[in-house]
Amino acid sequence: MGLSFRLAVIQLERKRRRRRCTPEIPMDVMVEILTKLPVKSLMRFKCVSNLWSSLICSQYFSKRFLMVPSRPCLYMCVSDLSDYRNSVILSLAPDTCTPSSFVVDHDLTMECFVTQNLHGFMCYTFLGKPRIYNPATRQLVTLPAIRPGEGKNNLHFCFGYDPVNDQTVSLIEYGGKANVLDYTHLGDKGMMDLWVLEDAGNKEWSRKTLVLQPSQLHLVNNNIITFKVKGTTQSGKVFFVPAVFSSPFHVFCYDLQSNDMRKIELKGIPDYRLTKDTAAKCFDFMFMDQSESIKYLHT
Amino acid sequence: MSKKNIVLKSSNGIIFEVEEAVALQSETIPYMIEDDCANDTIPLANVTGDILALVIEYCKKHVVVADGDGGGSSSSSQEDLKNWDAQFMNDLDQSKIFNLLLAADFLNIKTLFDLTCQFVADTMIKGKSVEEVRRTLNIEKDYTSEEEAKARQENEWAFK
Repeated sequence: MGLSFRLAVIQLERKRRRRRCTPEIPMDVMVEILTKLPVKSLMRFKCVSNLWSSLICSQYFSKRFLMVPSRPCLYMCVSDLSDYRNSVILSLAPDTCTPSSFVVDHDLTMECFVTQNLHGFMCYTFLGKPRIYNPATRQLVTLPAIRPGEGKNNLHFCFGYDPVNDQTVSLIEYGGKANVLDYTHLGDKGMMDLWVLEDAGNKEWSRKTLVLQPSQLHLVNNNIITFKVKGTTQSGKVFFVPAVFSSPFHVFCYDLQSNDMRKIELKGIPDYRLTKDTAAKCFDFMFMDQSESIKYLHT
Repeated sequence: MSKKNIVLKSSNGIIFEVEEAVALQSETIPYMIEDDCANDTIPLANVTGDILALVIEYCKKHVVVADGDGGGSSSSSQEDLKNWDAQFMNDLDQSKIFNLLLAADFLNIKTLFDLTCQFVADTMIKGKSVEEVRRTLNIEKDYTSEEEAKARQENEWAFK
């Protein structure tokens, strides 16, 4: 008995000593630390305790998490029109060795073609049913089909279908407002017009002309016109993506705020995705910078 | 212009005299100066002497050099500062790191707080197993075995 008592005391002592060297971290400080972790670690640490699990799944935490700049992420959907099952989503991360390039780091094989991304989520339709996928947490939610017959139009509408079809004008969202970007003269004059809907009620548009820095003119000279605008990221960057596959594969990233045009090379796209009968392939991009979400989808 | 000094006193009674610009990186200290008489010693009841010494070392390194011809903020000095930060954190043991984190929180020194949070996240949590994290942070396991198994199953991909 004496021995087991002594053992218990020693154990308690050890515990105390450990306590002393690790001061208790208050919850608000813990939240700050957790926001600095990658999503994958967070998903694993939901298993640490009930408290951590409910914290990580909470609205409060996912809002805090969105505010912390995370590494930019880029998703590329390659859809095979001849065989839908060959469609893939490739996720690309910034290449740490070469600046201004992204490299494929994951192949999220999914039989789908993603229509849009919103705050870190991908939206697409599968067998007539809308689906929402969070590539960061790998959570997939299938929503019930909207009434057959009108399904398709409705779905495209609610995912934000781009109604402006003119090749050189694109509807984008920037600064929380609807904007129209006219890049007709980007290739020849290095100029773009940004129309901002200042007051939706009075239908007031204001125009801002963006002139490219002279040193960056050569990037767009006479070739960007074949590119199409692919949405804006949360930090106000517009992406120009090519209409056809080429190797090496490039996209352009334009920062509306700092007037900075960059050419980005995408590396590591599997060759067979590019070469095999490219005519039958159709592809799309999504850019998620600072919008990786850990928000849990409730159905 | 003569430089004003501020006197800080740690919880265990150790006195530190620092230039005002160094101390004012803390957003808490100005309130304490306002509350007290400016010339008095500012008592920091939550911070021990060894930790306060570290905080001051950090603040001295990060004090913005306002005088001179302003060449201090070049990108190379930013890079130097980053390297210095990394070395500074690497030299500390776990207990010091946690206490420094809490001191940065209490003194409201944003850059030091972010630095320590990021360091804790990267070195003590990120690549660790669930068990290691519980041990490092003294977290009681409040899951039943079944609950834990379920949680692991739901997030299986994150364990690969």
